[in-house]
Amino acid sequence: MALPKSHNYDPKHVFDIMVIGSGIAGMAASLFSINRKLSTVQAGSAGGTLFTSGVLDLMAIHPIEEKKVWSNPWEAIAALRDQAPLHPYARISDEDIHRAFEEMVSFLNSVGMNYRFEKSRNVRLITSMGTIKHTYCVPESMWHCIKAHEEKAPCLIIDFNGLREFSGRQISSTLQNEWPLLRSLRVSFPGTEGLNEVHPVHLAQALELSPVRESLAARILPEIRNVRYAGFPAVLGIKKTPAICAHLEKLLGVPVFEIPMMPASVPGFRLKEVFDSSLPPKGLLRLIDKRVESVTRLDNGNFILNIGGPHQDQFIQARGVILATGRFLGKGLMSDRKEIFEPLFRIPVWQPANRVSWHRERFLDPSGHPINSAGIEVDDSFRAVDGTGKVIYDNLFIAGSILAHQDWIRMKCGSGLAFATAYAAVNAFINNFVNSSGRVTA
Amino acid sequence: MKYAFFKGCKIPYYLEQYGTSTRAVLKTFGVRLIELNFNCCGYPNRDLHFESFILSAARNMALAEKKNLDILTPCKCCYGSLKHASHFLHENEMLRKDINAVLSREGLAWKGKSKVKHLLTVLCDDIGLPAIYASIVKPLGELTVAAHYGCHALRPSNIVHFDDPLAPSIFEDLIAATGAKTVDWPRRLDCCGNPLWGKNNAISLSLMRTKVMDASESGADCICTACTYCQLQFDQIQGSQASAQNIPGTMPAILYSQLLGISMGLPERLLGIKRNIIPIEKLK
Amino acid sequence: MEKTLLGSPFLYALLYVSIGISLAGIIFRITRWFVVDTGPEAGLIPVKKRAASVLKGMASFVFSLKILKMFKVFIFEVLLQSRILTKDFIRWIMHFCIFFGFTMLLLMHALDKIITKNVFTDYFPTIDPFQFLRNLFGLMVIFGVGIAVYRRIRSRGSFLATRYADRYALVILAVIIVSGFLEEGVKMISENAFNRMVNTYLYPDDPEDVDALKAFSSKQYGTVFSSAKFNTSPKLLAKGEMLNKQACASCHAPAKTAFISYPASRLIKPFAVTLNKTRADIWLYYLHVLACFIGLAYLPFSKFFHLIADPLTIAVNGVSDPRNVDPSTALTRRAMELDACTECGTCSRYCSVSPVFTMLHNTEILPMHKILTLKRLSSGKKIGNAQMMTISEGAFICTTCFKCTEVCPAGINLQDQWLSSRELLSEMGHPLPHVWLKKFNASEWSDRMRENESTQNEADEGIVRYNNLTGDSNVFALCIQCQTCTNVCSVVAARTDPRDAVDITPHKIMNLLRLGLHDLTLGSRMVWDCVTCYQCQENCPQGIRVTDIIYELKNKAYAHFKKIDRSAAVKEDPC
Repeated sequence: MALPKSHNYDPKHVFDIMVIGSGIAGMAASLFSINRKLSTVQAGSAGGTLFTSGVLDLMAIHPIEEKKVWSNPWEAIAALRDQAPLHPYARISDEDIHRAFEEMVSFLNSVGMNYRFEKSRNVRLITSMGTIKHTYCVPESMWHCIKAHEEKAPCLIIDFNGLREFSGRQISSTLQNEWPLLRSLRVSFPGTEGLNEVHPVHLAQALELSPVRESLAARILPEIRNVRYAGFPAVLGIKKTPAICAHLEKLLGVPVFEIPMMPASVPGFRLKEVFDSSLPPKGLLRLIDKRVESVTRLDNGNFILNIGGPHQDQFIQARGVILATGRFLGKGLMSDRKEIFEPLFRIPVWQPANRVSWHRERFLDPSGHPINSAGIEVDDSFRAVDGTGKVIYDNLFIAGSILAHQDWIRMKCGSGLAFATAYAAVNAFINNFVNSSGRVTA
Repeated sequence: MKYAFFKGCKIPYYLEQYGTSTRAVLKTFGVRLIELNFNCCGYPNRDLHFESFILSAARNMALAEKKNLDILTPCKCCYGSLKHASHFLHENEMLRKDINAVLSREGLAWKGKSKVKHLLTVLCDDIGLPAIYASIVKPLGELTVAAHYGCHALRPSNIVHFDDPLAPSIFEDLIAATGAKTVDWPRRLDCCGNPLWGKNNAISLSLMRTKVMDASESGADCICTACTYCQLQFDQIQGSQASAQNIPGTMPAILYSQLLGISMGLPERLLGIKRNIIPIEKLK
Repeated sequence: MEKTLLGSPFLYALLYVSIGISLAGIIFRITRWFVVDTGPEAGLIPVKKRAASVLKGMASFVFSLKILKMFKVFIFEVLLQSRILTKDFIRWIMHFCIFFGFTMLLLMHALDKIITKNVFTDYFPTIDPFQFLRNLFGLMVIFGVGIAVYRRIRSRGSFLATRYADRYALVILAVIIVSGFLEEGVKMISENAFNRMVNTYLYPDDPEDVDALKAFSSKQYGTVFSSAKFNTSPKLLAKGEMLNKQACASCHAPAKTAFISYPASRLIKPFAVTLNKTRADIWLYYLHVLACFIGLAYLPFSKFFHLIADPLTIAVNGVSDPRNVDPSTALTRRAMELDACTECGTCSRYCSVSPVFTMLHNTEILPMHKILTLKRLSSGKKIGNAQMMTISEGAFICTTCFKCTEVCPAGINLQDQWLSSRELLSEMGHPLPHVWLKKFNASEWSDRMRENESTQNEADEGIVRYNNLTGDSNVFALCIQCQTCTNVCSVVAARTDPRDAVDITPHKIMNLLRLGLHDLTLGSRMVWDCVTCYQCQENCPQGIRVTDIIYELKNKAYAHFKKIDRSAAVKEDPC
């Protein structure tokens, strides 16, 4: 049966949850919601997820001023609860954070995007710049990289002519001291001879065809000689990554891995593709072509969200809203010369006292900038609260990077934060609005 | 049900079988198609001159509106063009005034009342899948089909409102009704390359070949299209290239109206499958 | 029998001269069909081969079943002109009246000695039904001509163009018919004619007989006598009637059945005496006959050549498949078709891209004008560069939708004319815009725009009236150069030609716009290779309308570049 389409749904239907925002937190909220059989609708632009690097952080650095790296993320979280009790993690138990991660990863695995992590260990992953990224959960296709690095095994990194922002030579020279047997090889990707620029997604799409893989392997094989691993920029396919890795391993005779690149990168693109194509069939009504223009609230507490365009109104009614609209890039938060504000519900935003205090003087100050911790404050049920701690609406939940008191980029906790807070929000909705027999009450 | 039948410029000379098979299929569902003296939808001209494109599209919609008919088109480029023009005319008052001033010289006016629909949306939304399932007499169980969505009906979604642009399912749902199996192929939402045919043949053919290779690797027997231009690209242009270079085993393409028609038991003289250049082995 | 004026050797000589000129003209024009270049195959097939192919084609057709189809085509489409009838009833009335009326006049009246007299042995021009029919057919022709004139006056300024050839055709017809009616009317009032007849056919018993006949004659035939009045007593009239029965009636029906000429004769009655004195019956006769000879001689060079070309065209195309053009006979057929076009404008009325004409005002978009241009091109006329660009623009705006071919009353395979002339235009250096725009790269175009600044001022006006995506920084200021648009662009992925690779990609276009380097984007290959699949716009995380921006750049580029002479050299920018 055809699924309801964004212009073709029953306008009288009252959805259980509307998720606003299509970044990682929004996608996680949608997943958790439909997994729990809540009727869910999601609006947001096309793009949030593809800015991720494809690796999933949990918690790695605290305190950020000292840049202290933790090899056990849970110990870092424990320290965080103690020293930064306003951080969103402090409102969620370790078990819940872990369950959120598990549920998300098992979904990804079920749709062919194999992710891997070890419960209590952060891993050290080399990047396309030759730096080390401390992260928690990586695509299966990157796992061998971690092992090869640990073993300091002889390894060949393949680099493509015209691929910007990836340099095999830079990686091997930066890591020279700790990984001396790492060397690089530059080849032309089949079909791109003479081009002075190639793009990652195109290479990934091309590798989904077996003749291309065979042609590429033929160019590399003579150099394989004594290496035990072969590394590639993260372009090994969009939808068929496991099959592509397996095929290349067979052709080259050694395990292969991918190295993450700068956003917007292919692994991020893969995540986006997987969310786009796998959630609607599970029952999510995704309004890809709609933005939420305005919100009103009925006496019974339900929200009426206007998703129409300039020349027509179109409404969605929902019992609960999860706001996961992100920060400034996606316009979840906006600013003018006076203050930072949240444009849709006008929830008060916790922020530095005045604009002058938004930034420190040094751009790369190790403590980061106060504006990065601005955001929306919540209670333990992840409901938005105002400056006095009073819940604004009992059915408005907040998830993801829009939350206050966290600096996900520097703490390396972005994905974990997104999953865990989305998990907490969905569960809070259920706890408050779904009775014991599973019926949703207003 | 009746609609104004907007065939577009390519069907009469280049792809007659799309017109006849569409008519035949819709007739069995009791749909009447009325031909008006339409002009070009404006799509080819949008590259050169915006107002000509809008006037071309608006005139067609005004003609249908005068007869109180919605428009049904089997071509996705025409669909996209009319939807775009409709959107611009809704949004821009000055444009609307200027265009209506020109149309009024012929006694026509665009008021935006006539809806624009594509063959697939009419089948899925207006006729409905249950009715289609009920009309099948010869399910095509042995056939594996790669659904080619094309571009201009699918994107940009805020204007065309056709289906989810990132995870569409309308075409696979309709193909499944005929009993055929569908494949999920990575390139299914990519462009067929026809817009560049005659302008940059190297890229046009490269785009087409990539899709063909992808469909083949994904295990399809044929590609199914629902757009005049896409079918021309995969059938006539692919066919002429193959014969020019003596390449066997290309990927055949079939129109959805033909596929549905076969499974409904309609006669060949209305479906015109023999007029397709590349034959489909499993349908012989 | 008295020798009639037609017996005059002078007129006979003129007749043969006219026939000779006409035949020579027809042969000349038909021969040209085998010689004239009408397509890209020109120069590749020698004249002898063209003639041979045509003969072969004709032979294979005659000895096949197609000849049966030919009968059907001939009767319905040629004789009954069904192609006009189905599209425009008034025009069919006009054309059929002229065609049928004139043909019957030709067969029944002009060739009466050869045809009518042999079929109806007691034929005389002045007896019924022939006198009546002659007037009827003449009236039909005038009625048709009247409709034609009215239509041309009413449709001034629209798709129908009235030129010298159209005016000549209507005038010559009118002159022939009107002079015929006048001549018949003059003969009726003519005393000279009466005297001649009486001298030949009346053998009066007594002198009063002539008077009696005169009296009766003026009543029966309208003859006007200059001499003083004569007695019109009943007795005289009765005598006259009796004499008339004896001597005249077998060859003369009452004049009133000539229902046009008789009223005409009443109109000219006041001037009868003068007309008689000046022998109007002779010079009107000369006028009438000479007009016919002129029409005949000039036929192959006038619009009436369609009497030869159109039946042939309808016949040839009526039995062949328009989608399967035989290349060996194509050149010849196209040349014949160019002669078959009567510029009726039906094609333009049904043209799918006439709204584009309404906006761009380029008449070369319309089929009728395109055919006129093809006639000029094939006759070897030199056409300047600017005009060639206008012609090329019109030719490639056509969507080859086939409608004009379906409606053409002359059965011309217009589709083939367009397809072949487009190929020809491409070979001549005037291909469609997406191709000629590749002649220069982005910075070369930018240089040329600077050189031609004076012509560039109004180019943008029409475009920015409704949208100004490329001039409004709020539109592309949101771009964060994430390269998503470039990464989802399948055109960029498909590029393997290094020359394409040095060109800019979608996110670079956005960047150039942010930098205000508008002009460099206009001539970039990316803009013109864009397939408008809308992937970039759909996937842009910032909601930037990338494809719509590229469309606007196309429109701006076209508006600017079509004013630039591509063949002119330009100073390179030293920067």
